[in-house]
Amino acid sequence: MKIKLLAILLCFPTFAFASEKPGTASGGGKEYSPYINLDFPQNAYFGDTHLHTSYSTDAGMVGNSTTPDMAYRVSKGEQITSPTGLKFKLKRPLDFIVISDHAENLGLAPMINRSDPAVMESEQGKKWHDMFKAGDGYKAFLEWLAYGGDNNDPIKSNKMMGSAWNDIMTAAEQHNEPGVFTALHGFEWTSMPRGNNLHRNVIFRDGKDKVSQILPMSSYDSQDPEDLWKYMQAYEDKTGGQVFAIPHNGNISNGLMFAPETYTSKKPLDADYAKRRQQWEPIYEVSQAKGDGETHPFLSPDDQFSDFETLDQGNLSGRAPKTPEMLKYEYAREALKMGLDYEQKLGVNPFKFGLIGSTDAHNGIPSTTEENNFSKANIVEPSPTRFEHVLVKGAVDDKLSITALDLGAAGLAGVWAKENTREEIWDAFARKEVFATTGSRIRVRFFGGFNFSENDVFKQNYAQLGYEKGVPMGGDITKAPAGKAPNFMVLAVKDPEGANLDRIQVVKGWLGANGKTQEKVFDVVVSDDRKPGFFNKKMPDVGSTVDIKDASYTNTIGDALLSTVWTDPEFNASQKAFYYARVIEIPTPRWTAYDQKAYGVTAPKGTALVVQDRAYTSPIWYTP
Amino acid sequence: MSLNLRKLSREPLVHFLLIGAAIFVFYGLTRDVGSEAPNRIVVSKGQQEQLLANFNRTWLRSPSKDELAGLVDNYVREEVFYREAMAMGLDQDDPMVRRRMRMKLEFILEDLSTQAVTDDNLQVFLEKHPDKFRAETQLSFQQVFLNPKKRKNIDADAQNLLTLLNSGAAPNSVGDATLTPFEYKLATQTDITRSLGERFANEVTKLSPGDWIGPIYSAYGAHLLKINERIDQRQPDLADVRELVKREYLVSLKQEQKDLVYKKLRDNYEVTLEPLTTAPVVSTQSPGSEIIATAQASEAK
Repeated sequence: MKIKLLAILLCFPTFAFASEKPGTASGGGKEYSPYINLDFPQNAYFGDTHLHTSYSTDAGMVGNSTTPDMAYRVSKGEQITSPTGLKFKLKRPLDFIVISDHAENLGLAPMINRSDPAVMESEQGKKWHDMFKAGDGYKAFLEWLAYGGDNNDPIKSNKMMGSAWNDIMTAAEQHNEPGVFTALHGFEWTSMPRGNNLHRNVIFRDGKDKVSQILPMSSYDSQDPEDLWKYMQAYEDKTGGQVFAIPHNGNISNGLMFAPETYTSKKPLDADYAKRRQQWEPIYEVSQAKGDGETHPFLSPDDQFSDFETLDQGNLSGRAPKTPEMLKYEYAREALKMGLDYEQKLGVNPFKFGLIGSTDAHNGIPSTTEENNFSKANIVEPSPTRFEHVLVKGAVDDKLSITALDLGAAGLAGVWAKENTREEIWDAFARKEVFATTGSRIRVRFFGGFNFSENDVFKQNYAQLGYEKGVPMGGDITKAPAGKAPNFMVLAVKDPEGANLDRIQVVKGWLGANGKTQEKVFDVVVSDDRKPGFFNKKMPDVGSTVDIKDASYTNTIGDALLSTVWTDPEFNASQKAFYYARVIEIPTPRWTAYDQKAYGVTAPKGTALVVQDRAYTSPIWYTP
Repeated sequence: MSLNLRKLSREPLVHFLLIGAAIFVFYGLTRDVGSEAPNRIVVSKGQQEQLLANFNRTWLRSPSKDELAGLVDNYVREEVFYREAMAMGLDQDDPMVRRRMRMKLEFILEDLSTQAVTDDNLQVFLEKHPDKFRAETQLSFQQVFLNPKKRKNIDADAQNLLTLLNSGAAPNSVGDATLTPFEYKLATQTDITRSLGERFANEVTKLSPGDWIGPIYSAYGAHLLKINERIDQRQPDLADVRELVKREYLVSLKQEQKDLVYKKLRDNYEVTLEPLTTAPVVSTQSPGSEIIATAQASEAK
C-alpha cells in the first residue's frame, strides 16, 4: 500500500510542478517543454583562480618565463613549452582562470628583460637590470627578496606598475570569450610578515574599463588585510565595480590566518571587523600545491581522512617552526567552527566563507592531476632529480624547507553557474556556490533544507527541487520547524576521465551548549553497498587497486555516482551549526609514483605514493 | 632573385617599412620647418593641456593658478636644459638614451603592425592555419540518464524507455538523477568531452537529429539522447572570427616580423668586430649550483 502510494507520488510531482511554476507560462498558455526558463545554475565550470606568470617577480626573475598570453593559451588547451623546455598540454581545457601575479614590483622581470625605461629610471631597478643582463640575475633576485614589508618598495614606480598592469589586463581582455572561456582580472597581494603567509588574491568582476582606473595594491603599501579591504572599498566607490579577496595557505601562516586579534592594533576581533571580513572575503582557497587546508590530524583526530597533503613544518619562508597551538588558527574547518562562536559573541561571523581549490603555479601551467603534474614552478617541474628539489629553502633550518615532495598536484575551483561569463562566474563565488577539488574534476551538488524527501535525490529534476525546497552550497537555513531536523541532498559524480568515488561524507561543526565548538564527520553514502562493521560500527575501507610500480589503478572498486538525502541524526535546533560535503575518491597513484615510473627512480623512504583525491563543498549554515 | 611587386605589396613587412619611413620623414619635416628658432621657446596650447591633464591624473583635480605657473616654469626649464644638452651632444653614447631610442622604434614598429591588419591579410592568415580556426561540430540535444547502480537490467530499461520517449513521454518523467545538464545547446565536442568524457563525446558527435536513441555509455552509465540540431565542423568565414584571427595574426606578427624587420635593417650595416686584447671573462657559476640557488629562493617572497 505504502509502496503504491509512493509510486504514484513519484510519477506526478514533476508534472504538477512544471505547470505551477511561475514564469513557465507564455502568452497565457503553458510551455510543453519542461526545460523552458530553468532559472538556476546547471553547469559546473572548473578553473584556477591562482596562476602566476613571469610578471610575478618570484617567478620571472628565477626562470619562469611563461607570459600571461601563454598561460591563457595553455589553460584553453593549447600545447606550450614549459620554462624547463618540456612540452605540456592539459587533458581538458579549463573554463576560467585568474592570472594572479604578485603586485610587489609587478612585471619587474619582463621590464628588465626589455630594458623598459620604467625600470631603468629607478636606481635600484637599473642596478638589478644591469646585474641581470650581466648574468647575475639570481643575485639580483636575492637582493630583491630582502626587501618587503610596509614602505619598503625598492622601486616605487607607478609607471612600472601601470605598464605591467596594462599588459596583464590586455591579455585578459584578449582571451576573455563570453560563453566559452572566462578571464577574470586579478592580482595577488603578498603580505607575509616575518615569513608568515597572509596572501590574498584580489579578483574583480569587471572589465578593463573599470579595472584600469586603479593600480594593484601591494604589501609594500601595507601588510594589514584591513588596509586591503579599504583599498577594495575605494575601488568599488570609484568605479562602481565589484571585487573580493581570497586568502590562502593558512597552513604556513604560523597562526596568523584566522588569528583572534587584528593585525596592526592587536585588538580582539570585533563586530565591525567581522562584518568587513565576511564582506570582502567570501571564499577561502582551501587546497593548493603548498598543502591542503581543510583540517589537520591534530585538530581532527577522529577524522580518518584528515591527513591529506599536510604541509605543516613551519611558515612560508621557513623562518619559524610550527607549534601545535598555531594550528587552530590555520585550518578552514576550525575557522568555520570559531566563526560560529564569534557570531554568538559579536553577532557577526567573520569566517563565513565558501571553499575552492587552485594551483598557485608559478610556471604559468595550471596542472592539477597526478599523472600530469608540472607542479608549482620551473624548479619542481618533472625531472629525474625532482625528488631532491627544494622549492623554498628554510631560512633558518633545512627541516623547515618546502620540498618538491611536500607539494601536491592541486587543485581546482568548481563553480555552479548558468553560463561561462565573468559576471556569472564571479557572482557564483560571491554567493559561495562553489566547491574545491584537490585536482580532479569531481562534480558535487549539495542542498540543505527541512523538507527533502528521500527520493528527491533520485529524480531527474532534483536540482530544481533543491533550489525550490532548500538552499544550495554556500546558503543559509534557519528556524527549524518544530520537531524537524535539517536534511541535505547531496550528489557527486567522478571526474569522467578519472577515478571512481569511495564515499560522500558530511562534515558538521556546531557550537555546543557549553559554548565549546564541536565537529563530527558522517559517512552519508558509500560505494559498493558497504555497511559499517557490526561491532566497531566503522565503515570498511574501499580497498585499493593501485599498482605503484606501474603507476596505475582500475575503476573496479568505487562508484561513478553517489547520492543520498541525509538527515542530521544529532540535531539540536538551538545550536548554531554548519555542514559541508566531502567527496573522497578511491586510492590512486600519487604524482610521486608516476615520476618513479617515468624516470625509473625511487622516491625517498616515507614518501607518499598513493593518494585519495577529494572535493569539498562550501558549507550551508544553520542559525537558530 | 626576382621581385614580385604584387606579392611584395601584400607583405606586412613592406607596410612596416613604408609607413615607418613616412613617419620619419614627417617628424623630420615638422622639426625642420618648425617656428622654433634655437633661442625661442613656445609653450603651445596643446603642451599646456598636456601639463594640465598630467596634473589631473595624479591629483584628481585641476591645478591652482600658482601650480599651473609652476608646471609651465618647470616645462620651460626642462626645455632649456634639453636643448643645451643636445647642443653639447650629451645624448651621444648615453646607455639610457640609446635604450630609450631603441624602445621607441620598437614600439613604433609594433604599433605599425596593427596597420597590417587588413581583411586581405587576415584572410590569408585564416587560410594558412585551418586547424587553429576550425569551428568544431556542435550539437543540441536532450539526455535521459540511466544509473547502472539503480537498475538491474539497464539495457532492457533503456529499450523500454526509448519506446516511451519516442511515443511522447516527457523526458523528465523518466530516467535517473545526474550532475550533467538535461539539455545541451550547440555544445562543441570539447564541451561534451569536459562534461561526459572523451569516449562519449566521440560517439555523440557522430549522431544526427532524429528520434530518441541510445543507449550511449559514459563513465557514469547509460544515456538516451535526442539530437535536435547539428552543425558540422567547418572552416569559419572571416567575418565570424575576425577578432580571433586578428589576435592570432598580431601575435605572429609581433613574434616573427619584429625579427624580420631587424634583419632587414641590419642588412644595411656592415659590422666589424675588433679583436679583444684580453681574454673574455667566462662565468664561473656551474649549472648545478644554479639549480640549488634557484631552489633556495623561489617562492620565498
